Amino acid sequence: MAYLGRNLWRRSRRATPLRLAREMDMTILLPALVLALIGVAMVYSATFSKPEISQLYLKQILWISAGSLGLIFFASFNYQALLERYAYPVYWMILILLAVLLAVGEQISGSQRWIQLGPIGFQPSEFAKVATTLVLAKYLAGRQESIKQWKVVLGAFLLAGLPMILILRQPDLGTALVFIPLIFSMLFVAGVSWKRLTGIAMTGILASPLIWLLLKEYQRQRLRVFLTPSQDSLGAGYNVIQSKIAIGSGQAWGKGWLEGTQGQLRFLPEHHTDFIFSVMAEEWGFLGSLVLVLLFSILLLQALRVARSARDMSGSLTAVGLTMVIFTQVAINLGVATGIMPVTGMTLPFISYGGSSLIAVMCMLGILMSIWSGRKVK
Amino acid sequence: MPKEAIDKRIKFFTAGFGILLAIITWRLFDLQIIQHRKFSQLALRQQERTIKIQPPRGKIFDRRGRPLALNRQAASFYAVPSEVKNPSRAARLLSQETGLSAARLQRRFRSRRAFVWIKRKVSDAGAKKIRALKLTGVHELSEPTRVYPEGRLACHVLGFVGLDNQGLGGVELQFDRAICGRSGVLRVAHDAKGQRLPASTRIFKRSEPGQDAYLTIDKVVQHITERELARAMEKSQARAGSVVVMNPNTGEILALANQPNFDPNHYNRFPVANRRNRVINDIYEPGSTFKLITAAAALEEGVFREEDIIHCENGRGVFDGRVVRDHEPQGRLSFREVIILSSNIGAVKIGIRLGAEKMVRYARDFGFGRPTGIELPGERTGMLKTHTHWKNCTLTSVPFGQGVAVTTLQIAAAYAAVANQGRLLRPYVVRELKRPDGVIVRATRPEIREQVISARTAEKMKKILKDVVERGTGTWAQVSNYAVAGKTGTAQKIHPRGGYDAFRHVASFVGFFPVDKPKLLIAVMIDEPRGLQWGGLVAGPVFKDISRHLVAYLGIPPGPQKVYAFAKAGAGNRFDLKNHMHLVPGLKGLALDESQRRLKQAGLQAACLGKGKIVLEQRPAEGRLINAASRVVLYLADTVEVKNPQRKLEQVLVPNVGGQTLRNALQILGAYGLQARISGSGVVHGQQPSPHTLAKVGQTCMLNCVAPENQP
Repeated sequence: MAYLGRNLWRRSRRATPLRLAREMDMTILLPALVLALIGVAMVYSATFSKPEISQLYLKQILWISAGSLGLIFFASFNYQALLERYAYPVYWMILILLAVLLAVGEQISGSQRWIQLGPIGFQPSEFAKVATTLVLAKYLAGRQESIKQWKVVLGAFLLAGLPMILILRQPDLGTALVFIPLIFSMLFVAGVSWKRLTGIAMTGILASPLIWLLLKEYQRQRLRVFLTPSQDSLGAGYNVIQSKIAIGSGQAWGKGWLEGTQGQLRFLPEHHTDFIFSVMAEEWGFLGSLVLVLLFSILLLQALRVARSARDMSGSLTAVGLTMVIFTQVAINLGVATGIMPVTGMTLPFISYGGSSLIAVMCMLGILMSIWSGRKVK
Repeated sequence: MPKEAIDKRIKFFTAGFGILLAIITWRLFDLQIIQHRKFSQLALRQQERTIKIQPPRGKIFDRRGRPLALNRQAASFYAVPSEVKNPSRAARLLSQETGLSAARLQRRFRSRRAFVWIKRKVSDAGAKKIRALKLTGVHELSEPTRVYPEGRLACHVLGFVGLDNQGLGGVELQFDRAICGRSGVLRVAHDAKGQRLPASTRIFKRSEPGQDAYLTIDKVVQHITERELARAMEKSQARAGSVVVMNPNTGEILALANQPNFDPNHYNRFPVANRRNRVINDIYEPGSTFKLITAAAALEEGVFREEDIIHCENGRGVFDGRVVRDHEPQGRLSFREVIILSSNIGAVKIGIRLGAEKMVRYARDFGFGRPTGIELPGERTGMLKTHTHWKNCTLTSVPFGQGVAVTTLQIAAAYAAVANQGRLLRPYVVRELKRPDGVIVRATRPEIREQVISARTAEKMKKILKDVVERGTGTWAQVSNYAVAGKTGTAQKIHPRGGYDAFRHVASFVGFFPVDKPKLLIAVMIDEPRGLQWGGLVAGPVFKDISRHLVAYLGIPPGPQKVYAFAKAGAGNRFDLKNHMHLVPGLKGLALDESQRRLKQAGLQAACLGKGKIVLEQRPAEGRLINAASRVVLYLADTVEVKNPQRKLEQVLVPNVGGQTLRNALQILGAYGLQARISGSGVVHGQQPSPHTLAKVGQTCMLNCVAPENQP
């Protein structure tokens, strides 16, 4: 068994396209591809009535292609080697980028998130999520014996906290939030006790009034609006109300592609990025929403299966971390759109327009597939 | 960490994901399936501005195609608030021209809406003024507006329309859907910035013009009816009055008039009470006109023949301990005469022999206690208790029209059934509904609701009703050269504190002619006439005057056999005038000869005290009721200023109350400021001091009364 596994592993390092295709996990790949295509259709619909951005769907196709290359690259790359050689360098590099960004970044709607490389805007925070996952996996996997020590736990928090704080300073509350479930889930799988994690969480919650002080005024406003949504129906609450109207008026079967009045008539804000789900729910109805949630469910549950079947601890940790990143984004984005969570700028993986987020998430899938093809075959 | 432990912990995530995704799915189900209606409406409200396009209302014509309701275009002004440059100035200027509140206009101009009304349906002159202001953001559109070229004519049939051309009364309300047409809808989708989207997103619903209504009303008949009613109202100073003119063979309403009335062009300038169509909206106890039903039922059931003798108890009948009186005491009368002379006691005796169950059944068959089916809004059914709910006394009151409540139209329809061989018809006012292209959408045909009594009984009743007008209570309704059948009614109104009110009456007359082949039926109802109160005297002449004009207009040939000599009216009348009370006119400050002229007009004579040419004071005072045999005392002087007038005014001329009922006598004496002491009962036979002698105010007058029979 062990021999066979090792054999497979060795061979997969010199992957041919055919072998790659066979070894890829179709239960992840297929839902991902369908989601990406839905994304193109939705970006087309969401920008259809705005001539100045109506070409974005073409770019989205370009990002999918680029993301596919990344996926294939990472799928054929031995994840153990990736962790061993590149986790820390990439992590530090991203940290530096984030720091540079804070200093010279371009302002987009009140925050600095972009690095301009020629015609292409590049968002390091999207990649920070992957890099942090990798570095945490390596860090925790290498400290299995001493995992019960506070020192190790604190080190992990430090690794996750550095990029998180830098992103929070941009400020990009949504992306920064992703790091919290990420670090907790990885510590949990790494074997940190329930008690300790709960303790840390409680401490964090008790300290949250301090975080309130760190928040920018507009972020505080968003939280207030969430707590009392009717207070300000034309200001910050407008987005949620419009999103709910769009989703609700989609009814069971939807109004049809390109027929969604709320989205097309620009009542919905940011409808090709953060609120793209509302456009879809309006045009394709409950049926479409259900299909979308199902696709995400298949993808995420399969990703957790990858985590369980990984050949070693670092594989499991990486897979859990990446799954958690995707899940957090999906849950928060849908939660915001349906009005059960406060407004937090968060893209919906695969669907929202955005090169960095799309490429990053496809790279994550590549890594997951690499872990899958390196699994222990029973 | 052993492999199994990791597995277990990862499985925990599987469960967590599952739960959270299920929550989101449930939320989506909630929004998109459970609450979808709410959000769809919200979405629609946001996206669409609907602009209603109102078609002009259908016109209304009389039976000969003469217009009664038309449309004209009137200017309405609105503002687009975002275009109004200086809201406070615009509001101030407009307020000056239109009289609207400047503050309110300004608030409208500052609103976020895309469209606000300023003033609708402005007169031409007003529109000119507003146009002259040349305000930016103030626009004008033309709206169809209802006009009633005949003003008040037939107002209660026509009804009126509101600001949005919605029918609010009469035919306008009843046939609103047909007359209104279907308004078209222009939907304009707009985006979040309030901009209209390209033409392709507009959806039209075509408007459908309203249908024209052709009424059964004849404009000339209506005009005559209204004029005569108004005259009668002036003469009797009544509270209200109604007349229905009907074709008894078809149920068509030729005229329907009420007083007070209103001008539908300016309906809101009139009190709401003026808009009541009393013919169908008001119910009252009919009194003697209801005896028709009692008599017809008795003949139809065979419990009486026309010549059977009924003893009328000399004006005072006691039934189950309840006293029933006749206004004029009678002894033995034939069945016919009971109706002709309108004896309450006789009617009760007929009713008792008929029985409660049959009494009610016939009343219901004749249309009482249920709607006549006329297509006008708010028709009341009246009150007719089923016999199982009757008390003992009910059978002693219903036969002569107490204890039931009816509408004038129900009475008219019941008499039309007698005129029309016992067939009860459904009265109607709308003959045809026509589309503007001439296609008749609906045509009303005469509709027989029931055969109430046999044609033979109807014929017998016609003859009795003919005698009522010829020699009974209805002689004031005689139309020269035409044989008229009819019946009077004088009903005391119910006193607010219970019982009947001796001074408030409903006087009515219903009749049709020519008797052989009835062409016209007219029902007159006068509510609370002052002075004369008897149906025959108050309502009968109205019937006569309307009929006189209508026979000429409609060309109704005079009857072949029976012709009244008009001059003889009242000659063979057994119904004595001496009991009638006259209204004393106000004469204070008038010249003597003018006073005498007015008294003559009122049917009264003067007795002068003092010397001079000016009436200083009068007794009885204005508005009191006295009989014709008494004199109105006028205190004369040369100037209005008289020293110490009090002494003269203490004197009064004793009225002549001989032959009066006790009730009338007391009323008259009271009007002169005299007391009374009574001996005996019945009718006044002698009085002390004797008539026309001087007496002092406050003095007591002895009245000696006897039963009517023993009257010399």
